[in-house]
Amino acid sequence: MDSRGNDREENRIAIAAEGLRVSFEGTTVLSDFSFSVDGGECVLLEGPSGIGKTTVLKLVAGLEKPDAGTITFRPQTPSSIGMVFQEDRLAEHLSAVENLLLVNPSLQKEKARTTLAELLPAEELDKPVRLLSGGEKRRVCIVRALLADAPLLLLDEPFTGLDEKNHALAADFILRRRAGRTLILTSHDKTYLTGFREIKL
Amino acid sequence: MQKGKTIIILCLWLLIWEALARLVHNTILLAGPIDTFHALLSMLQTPETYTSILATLLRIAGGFFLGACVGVLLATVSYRSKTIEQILYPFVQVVKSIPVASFVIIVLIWAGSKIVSLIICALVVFPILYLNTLAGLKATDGKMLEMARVFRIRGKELRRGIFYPQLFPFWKSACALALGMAWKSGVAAEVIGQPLLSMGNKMYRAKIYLDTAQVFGWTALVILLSWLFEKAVLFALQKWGEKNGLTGE
Repeated sequence: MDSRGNDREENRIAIAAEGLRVSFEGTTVLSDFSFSVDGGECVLLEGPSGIGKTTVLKLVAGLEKPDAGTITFRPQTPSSIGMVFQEDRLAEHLSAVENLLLVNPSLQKEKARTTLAELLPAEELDKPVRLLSGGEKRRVCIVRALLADAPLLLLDEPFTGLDEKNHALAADFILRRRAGRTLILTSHDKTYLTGFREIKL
Repeated sequence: MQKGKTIIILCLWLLIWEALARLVHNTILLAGPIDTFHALLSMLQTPETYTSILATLLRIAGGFFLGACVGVLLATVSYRSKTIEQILYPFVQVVKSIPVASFVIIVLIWAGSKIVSLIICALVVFPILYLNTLAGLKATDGKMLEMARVFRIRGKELRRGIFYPQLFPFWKSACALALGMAWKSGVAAEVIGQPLLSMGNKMYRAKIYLDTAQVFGWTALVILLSWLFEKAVLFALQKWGEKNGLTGE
């Protein structure tokens, strides 16, 4: 199923990365790193801080180019990606609902509202995002990624700044709303992440 | 308290003006505020005054919006293409640096006097809006642009979510500057170009008849209209900003 609830084969993006090498200013971040993800699979990238997990997500998203190596997608390169970045990257002047409509204009306002209400108090939904707390902003980021009309989900430390209760709620939300889409996630805490295949860096 | 102080300061300057006028005792050299006020009252009783005001207002407003639209449009194109920016750079620098008087003469040769103030206003406003819009676009957060790329945000969503909040403060300061410049240059162009129905033409005629009080009267009207026009445009911009969530803490 996609974000609108349709199960589609093209939503099961498979990824194959071969011999990725990335270095920044003479420092090698990734060296001959290969991995593959099956269509519709949930993958957890594991490794200590600074090992290159974010770099892998950026490579998959096309935000960085590897010095060597290739990444191929099947059945096709995704046209858009539902992503949670390390930083929130929200339109701070817009409300949580409007932030969702920004990435998915065809989304019904009422659906955006009810989905957001699963993770956020209803009275916070129409405030400009700049007035929300760090944890609330993070939850908006998670909902934004999951409600984007995108066949591939890349979540970089989505639970940062969430308390225990909201961490559990957000993890459950991700698993329910993933709707069969391929998901790659990085997290220091895998307590609530069941059914994920782990890839070590 | 502040308002009261402002009124007192204003009255003080009017008194200084009146005292100087009485000291000079020659209305051709310096008309006082009372003479100016009387001249203004008599001007406002002729219908031609209103048609001149309307014609000037339309030309200056038209020139302002034309210059602003072209400035914003070309800045957007320049932001997308470095080559276009480089091609436009000398043109913008020349337009920015040429004195208004030279422009007026050139425009008079090319386009005649009817629309001279419209074109001059557009030429004065264009580089201000162009440079500010381009600076605003270049200051856009690269991480937000990456986010837009990943989520494939386009069109009006891209403008509303990422570019408008970036451009809004630049547009506010650019408009405040450009509005004042538009009126100054527009009226100057009318004084030089002499289109029949215009405030500049009326001002020039008053000068020919050595009616300094009327020159001051027309100047007062220009100041008032310029102030009202600036307030109206900035108010509209502020309302647009509020509608798009760009204002407030």
